[in-house]
Amino acid sequence: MSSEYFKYQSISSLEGEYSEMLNLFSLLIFGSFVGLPSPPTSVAMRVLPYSLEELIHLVGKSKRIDDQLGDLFDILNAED
Amino acid sequence: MTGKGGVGKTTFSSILSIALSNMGKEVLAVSIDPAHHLGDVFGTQIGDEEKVLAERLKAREADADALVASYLSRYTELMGRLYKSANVLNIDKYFETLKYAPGIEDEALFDFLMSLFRREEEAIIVDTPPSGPTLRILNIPWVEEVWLDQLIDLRSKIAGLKEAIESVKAGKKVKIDDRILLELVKMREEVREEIRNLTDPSRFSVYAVTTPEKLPILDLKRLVPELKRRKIAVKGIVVNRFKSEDSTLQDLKEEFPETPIFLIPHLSEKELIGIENIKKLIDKVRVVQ
Repeated sequence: MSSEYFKYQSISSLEGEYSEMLNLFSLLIFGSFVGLPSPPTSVAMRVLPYSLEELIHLVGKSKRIDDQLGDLFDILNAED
Repeated sequence: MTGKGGVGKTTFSSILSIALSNMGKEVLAVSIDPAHHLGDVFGTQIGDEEKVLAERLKAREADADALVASYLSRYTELMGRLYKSANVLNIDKYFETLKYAPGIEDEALFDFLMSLFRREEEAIIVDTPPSGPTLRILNIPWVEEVWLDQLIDLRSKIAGLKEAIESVKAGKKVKIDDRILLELVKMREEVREEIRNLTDPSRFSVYAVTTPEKLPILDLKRLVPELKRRKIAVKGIVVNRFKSEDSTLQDLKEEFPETPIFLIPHLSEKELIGIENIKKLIDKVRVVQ
C-alpha cells in the first residue's frame, strides 16, 4: 500500500512538472499565433503536425486561466 | 543581387545572366523581388513558369503568393492526415490567417531560395528585393539555429520527464521516441546545411549594387559589413549609372579595398531594354580593382 502511495506521489509530482514544461514549450512554439514573441514561424510549422497533445494542453490551460487558484491547489496537492 | 531600391539590381542581373550564358554556362535568372522587373529589362513577358530566353538562358519571376500557398500546403496536408479528430481545435482556421502572418512571406521566399541549391544549372542569378528585406530573409537560418538550440534543450528535458513518468508507471525502464524532439533535431541539421551553403563562396555569393549617390552608398556601407559578419561572400560591388571617376569611387575603393568594383555607364532607358541591347552593354562594363 505504502509503495503504491509513494509511486502515486512521485508520478503526481513529475506530472505536475511535465505539465508546466509542456505548457512553456507550447507557448514558445505557438505563441506567434496569438502575438507573443516567438521563434520563426517555420519552427512552429515543422512541429505542428506532431503537436496534438501540446495544442490540447495549451487550449486546456487557456480554459482554466480564470481558475489559477484551482491549478495552484492541484500542484500543491501533488506535493503534499 | 541586392542593394537599395531602384539602383539597378535587375539591370546587372540581366547583364550577368547573359554574360555567363555566352561563356557556355547553363543559366537560370530568377526574380524573388515582389516588384518584378526582369521581364521589363529582358523586353519580354516572364511569369511564374520558367521561360527560355536564349540558348542556355532561362528566366522566372517567382510569384510570392504562390510560394506562400505552396509552403503552407505542405503542412496542411500532413495536418489533415494526422489530426483527423482535431476539428474542435479549428486548426484549419489558423492556417487561413497564417498566410498573412508577419514573416511567412520571408520564410516562403527563403525556402524557395534554398530549393535553388538543388538545381542542375551551373549559374543561378537571383534578383532580390531591396537590401532590408533581403537581409531579413538571409538571416533566417541563423535566427532559426539559435531558437532550435534552446527548444531542443527544453524538449529533451520534457522527453526525459515523460520517460521517467512512464517508467515509474510501468515499474521498468521505458524508452519513448519523442516525435517533436526528432523533428527539431532534424530541422537543426537542415538549418546548419543551409548556413554551410550560404557561407560557401563556391555555392553562394552576393553582388551589392549601388549608384554613385549618397543614400544608396550609405545603404551599401551598412549592407556589405552585415553580409561579411555572416561570412556571406560579397563577390563584387556594382556601381550603376556611373558617369566619371570621382570621390565616390575613391571612397568605395578605400572602404572595400579587396572587393572588385564593376562600373556600368549611365545609359538611356532604350539602351537597357532587350537581350540584344544587354549583350552590347556587357562590353561597356568596366572592372576596377
